[in-house]
Amino acid sequence: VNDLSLDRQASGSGSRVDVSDDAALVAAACGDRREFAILYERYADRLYRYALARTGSDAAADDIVSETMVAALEGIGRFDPDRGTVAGWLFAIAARKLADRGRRRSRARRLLGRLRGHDGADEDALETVIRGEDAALVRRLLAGLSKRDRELVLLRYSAGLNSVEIAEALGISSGAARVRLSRVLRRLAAELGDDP
Amino acid sequence: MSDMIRDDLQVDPRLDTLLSRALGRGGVTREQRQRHFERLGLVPRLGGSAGQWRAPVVEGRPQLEPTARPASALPRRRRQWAELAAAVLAVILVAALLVALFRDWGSGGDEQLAASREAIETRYETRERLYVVSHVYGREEGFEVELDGRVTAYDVASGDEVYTIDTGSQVDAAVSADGKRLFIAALGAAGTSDGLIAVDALTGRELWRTPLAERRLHWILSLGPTTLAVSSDGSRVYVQSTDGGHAYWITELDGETGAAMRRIETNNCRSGTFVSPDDRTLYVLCDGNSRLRAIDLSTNTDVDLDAPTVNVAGAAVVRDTGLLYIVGGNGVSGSGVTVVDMNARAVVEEAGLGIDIRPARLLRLVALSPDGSRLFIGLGTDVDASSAAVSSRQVVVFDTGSWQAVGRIATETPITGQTLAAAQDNVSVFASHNAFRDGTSVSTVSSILRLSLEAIPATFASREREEVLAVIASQVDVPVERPTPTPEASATREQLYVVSHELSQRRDALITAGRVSALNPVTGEEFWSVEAGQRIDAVLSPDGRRLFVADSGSDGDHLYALDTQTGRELWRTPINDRQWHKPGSGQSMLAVTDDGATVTVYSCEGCTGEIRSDTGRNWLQRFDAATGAYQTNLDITECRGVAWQAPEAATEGFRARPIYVICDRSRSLEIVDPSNGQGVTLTHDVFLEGGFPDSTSADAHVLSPDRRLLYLVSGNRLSMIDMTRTAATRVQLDADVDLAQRMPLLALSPNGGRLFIGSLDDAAYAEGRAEVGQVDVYDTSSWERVGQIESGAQLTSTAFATAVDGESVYGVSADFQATDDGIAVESTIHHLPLDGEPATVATRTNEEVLYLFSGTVEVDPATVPLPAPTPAPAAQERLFVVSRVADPGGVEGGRVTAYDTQTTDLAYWIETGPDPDAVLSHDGTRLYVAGSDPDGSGDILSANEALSGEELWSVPIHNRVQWMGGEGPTTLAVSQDGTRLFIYSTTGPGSYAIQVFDTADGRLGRVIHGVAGCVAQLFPSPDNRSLYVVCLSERVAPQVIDLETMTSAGVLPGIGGYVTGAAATSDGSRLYITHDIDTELRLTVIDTNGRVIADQRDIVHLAANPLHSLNLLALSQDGSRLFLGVGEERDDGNPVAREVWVWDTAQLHVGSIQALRPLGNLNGWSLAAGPDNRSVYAVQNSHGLDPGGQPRSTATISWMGFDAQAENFAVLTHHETLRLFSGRVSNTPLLSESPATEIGMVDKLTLPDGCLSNLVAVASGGS
Repeated sequence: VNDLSLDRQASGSGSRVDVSDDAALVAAACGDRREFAILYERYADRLYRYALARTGSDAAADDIVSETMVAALEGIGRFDPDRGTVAGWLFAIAARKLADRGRRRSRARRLLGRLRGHDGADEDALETVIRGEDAALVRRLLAGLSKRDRELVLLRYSAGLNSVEIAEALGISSGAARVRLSRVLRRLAAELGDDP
Repeated sequence: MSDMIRDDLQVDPRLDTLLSRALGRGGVTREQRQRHFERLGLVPRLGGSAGQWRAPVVEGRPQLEPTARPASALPRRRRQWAELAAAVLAVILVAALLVALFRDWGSGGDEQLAASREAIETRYETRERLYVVSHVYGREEGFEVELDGRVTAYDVASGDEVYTIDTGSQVDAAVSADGKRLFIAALGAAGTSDGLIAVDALTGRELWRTPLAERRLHWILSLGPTTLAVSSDGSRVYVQSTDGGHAYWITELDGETGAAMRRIETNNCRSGTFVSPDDRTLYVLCDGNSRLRAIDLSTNTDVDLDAPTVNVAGAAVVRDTGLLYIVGGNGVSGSGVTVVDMNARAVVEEAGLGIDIRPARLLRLVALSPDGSRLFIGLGTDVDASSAAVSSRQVVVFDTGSWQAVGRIATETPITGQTLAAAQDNVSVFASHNAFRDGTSVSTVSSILRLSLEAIPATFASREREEVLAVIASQVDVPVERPTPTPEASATREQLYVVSHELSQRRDALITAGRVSALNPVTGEEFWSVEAGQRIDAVLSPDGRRLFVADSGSDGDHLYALDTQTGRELWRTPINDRQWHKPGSGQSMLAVTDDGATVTVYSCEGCTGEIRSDTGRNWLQRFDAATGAYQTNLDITECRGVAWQAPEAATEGFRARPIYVICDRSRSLEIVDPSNGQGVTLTHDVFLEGGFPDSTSADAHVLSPDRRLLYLVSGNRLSMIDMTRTAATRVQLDADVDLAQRMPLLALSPNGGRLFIGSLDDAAYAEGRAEVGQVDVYDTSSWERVGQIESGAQLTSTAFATAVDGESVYGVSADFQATDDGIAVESTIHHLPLDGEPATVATRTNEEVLYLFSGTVEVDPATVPLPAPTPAPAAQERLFVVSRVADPGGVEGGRVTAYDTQTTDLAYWIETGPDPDAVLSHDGTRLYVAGSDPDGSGDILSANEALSGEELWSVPIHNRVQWMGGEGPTTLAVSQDGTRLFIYSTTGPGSYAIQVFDTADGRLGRVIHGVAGCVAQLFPSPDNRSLYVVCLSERVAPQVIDLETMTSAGVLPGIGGYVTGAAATSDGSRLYITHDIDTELRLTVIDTNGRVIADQRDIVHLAANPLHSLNLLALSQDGSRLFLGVGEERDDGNPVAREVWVWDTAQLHVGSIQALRPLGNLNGWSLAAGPDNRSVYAVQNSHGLDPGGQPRSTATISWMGFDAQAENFAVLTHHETLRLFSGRVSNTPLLSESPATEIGMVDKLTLPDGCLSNLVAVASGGS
């Protein structure tokens, strides 16, 4: 976990923290639960943004963060720093929670989809999270991406993961994550290049 | 983004910034963070910022010795006590006592509690089964004989024949992995053709029978491998088929209906079929080239499996692990085993067997012990199979870890049957021997042999005129009546058992001996008294007949049983490595199982007696409670402390009954899975979420009288853990003080209705005295505090027990005095009633009381007849089935079918057209039916006489919500007064409404706008003021519609999570909602008139999940029971329920849950309560092909209740059941009523689809 020795912004507050001690924090939290609070603070906002972008629902994102953190605390003894990063581990848990949620809702969604007059309440979740003055531009850019490619973009920009961590979260090789992400970003950059 | 993520990915800076700004903002709010931290068990640091949090710190317990006042200022008596307490009671722990257990089920208790008891009486136990497949020899004519098939089920433990199924010849059979279904194939099972029969393995009752369209493979004299294989859950059956020539393939059939699904090519392999546990892969052994083929069932293609070619002699599967063991050999020296992980599709091991073996190749004499540790191979000589002369006289047993032969079982009686079947004891196998009359092929008598590593070969059973082809081992869950509580006989008496140790006045031997006495709790009279050794420990049996005692004497430690009536010692056995707590701690290290059959002693090898050491092997010794015989031991790897094995009942999620341990030091709860004899500790983390969100420790605990529930107090939070389900309910106790600081003592009344919590009063707490001065009494139904006992005396002992009356407790105060010779003590036993004056039961000189138990003994064992069973349900009870008709010709329609539930007769049905729906009025007079006109002209609502189904009126309706294919919750509801009918409707894209119809004539009265848009169900309140819109599978709180203003009154606060089910009582006064809070199940009860939450409970359920997308929730008509389907959400989006939990609504905690097991997986949208309030109807829809290859939907309505096994109620072919409901219909015929068309209302309007707003305007204006 220390290989990368990355610095990154922990949250929207703009504070900077050193993540190289992630594994140490996990180890500490194994012995003293209160240490987990620091991990929570480090990752909650990013998990939230990622979940919100996936679900489009503040309440669902709230649930996902909560469930992910509880699962992480319960399974903290099983985290193996030799096998990956804390970020990758946490976001892999979150991805599973999101998949579970999708399964839970699938039948209801099918019903609603066939409901006469229903306007598709499950509109694109991304619509609800893209903010700022360039929102329309970003929406247009992302609209052309496949679901898989969008996931890569979200993990990088909503969750703030690097390609190694993205690979761990998605259960793919870091090389594959890196190549796929590069392609997607190059394509987006090319599309952006035509824009004023 | 480059300032956020540093890696060497090259990103266009403009894009990087753009995406960072658009996507990288926002986060959890402070309120969300607060909730998360509460759930994580973290609390904010005082004065800290959002980033500074800490875990709660458990404050220290009050000092036993006074600290606020100098010791010299204390009265002499109290100071002496304090000194002694520091020495003798230094580790008085926070936990309470094992409560006295009683057999007083028949006395006292209100009806609600009786109902609760009734609910938990029926349980299941797993029994070992042996199925014997045989040919029956009939009439002989010369050398020809009539041959039929037979399958006989044996109960292994008793040797009893449970049932016999006679069928055609060439019989074969297979059992599903869960042991629930037995599939039998035979020639002649369907007319003169091959047929497949599905049988309820428990009872032998036939579930269905279907002809096999494709010819089944018949081995010569049935001496080949089985032609059947079953998927793990029994949903698919695979049958070896042939064209009668040299072509072989497998036919897949629906295990629920028998419908043929598809043909799976096997490249002519035919020598044994196996399905992986994940049902993804089919394995077929090929006898021609001796290879194993793997077929991907989703793609029907071969999987590359690098399995070696072996001369296959046999194969066996460990079901739990999915490992397939193939035994083969190429001669004398080439024998070996290949192990295939069937889920992983990989060869995981190849091993030589190290010795010369020649498996009896044409027999399938290979079996694996259920725990996978031993492989049994029958050795024999390859002889021409057609002569039926292949036999085996020896079974060699290999350890599957080392592949060393660990034993050989020789049998004088040769094995001539096809199979070995491993017994559940993991050391023996069943085999068969067929004796043939000389000169003929007619069998005279056959034997089933039991061959064991640890016993002489024995004949398990004999079959006359049968040739046994195969033996199949399995297990089956059998409902067992819990030991029927003995009704209180006319002559019983209450006894109070006092377990104490005597204190010597000599300083060098403070504690010299123990004593067990039985007292009359009223007079203090001593019925009997028995002297015991030191370090005495004791526990009372659940039926109160025996007291199990462990002690230490000069001749070592012993465990013995006392007859509670006389004090007579029944048996005594020496034990080693017993552990004990400091005397006076209140912690017993003995436990007895719920059935009273086994006594468990907590032990530690390598420890030092008193439970202190951190080293050594922790284990439980188990003894037969009837004889004292040592049974077995179970390792516990982690914590040490008092331990119980979960009751003999279903314990989903565990292979064996788990062990619950309250750890001695951390006071946390550990759950240990003792499967395979190896302790596997599940950390208490599994309960952090539900059990101890604020703390990982249990301050006190007590077991329910039936040993099923474990009550844990942690602070002021109480968790009730159902040990049979590994599920917990939490409540917050309404205590005046923080119990974590007040050293709570717990005791439960014999019927479980009252929980007594003794605690330090304010004065004792302030002064640091360990003296319990008050006892709070809680009702375990409502968890309200119903009283408080001021003891008068200060209880200083952890000995604490409820009286048989359930309304009072016994406690002990001790007075220690320093004497010239040492210490003198006088213990006083108090009787403390909830209503009445405290009294002294007895005073014991020089005895310190360690434990108290209360129970009754029979003085005159006269029996009293049990009450008569519930009378049969009334004749007018009906079950209504709303179904979609899927005709093979492609015609779709709908139907509402009414059944008389007493006679099961079909009363009538109403054709509705597509998208049917129906609801019964609360007075049972009317059945309202909605459907679509088959000609496509629109929807129709009709009112019908519920008794006869005759139509009273019908009107066209518009814009009602129609779910996909009619599937979903009902969109109809009737007001409690019967005057209004509500229909959930849509008024345009994203806009929803409720149409309100006048039930007198079908007139559309009002339309309520602003209604939540979701998968909704409507529930009216009895006062006709409120209508609740409950959104299923949504994280949306119920919306309340004010029916006086016909507007939304908002949503009901306090209900979070995803709503998974909703059901109302028949009078509509209570609405039960289940919702999923972060994977926990919460049950909320709404007072519909008051628009408030009446009750709310959290259920931690580790074993099963509430289903989000099925509304499998129903209430019995009397409201006493709540039925909830639980199962799993599957990846394909089609959830299934595997069992139905039944709650006692009077208590609403897991302790009142009983599980009903359906015949198959439930996938309908509803449950319907049975008329007896003790049963429920459920639906299983299956889709497949009929024998002619045409699509066929089959709806199977099944019934399940407490008193009998589940059974099919009705099967509707070409139907898919959408909804079920039940109710009592009025016997009084209704007068004919004027249809709405005659008074000229809505039906005269012609409106386009989807324009309800227009309709509203007309209707409102028109009225």
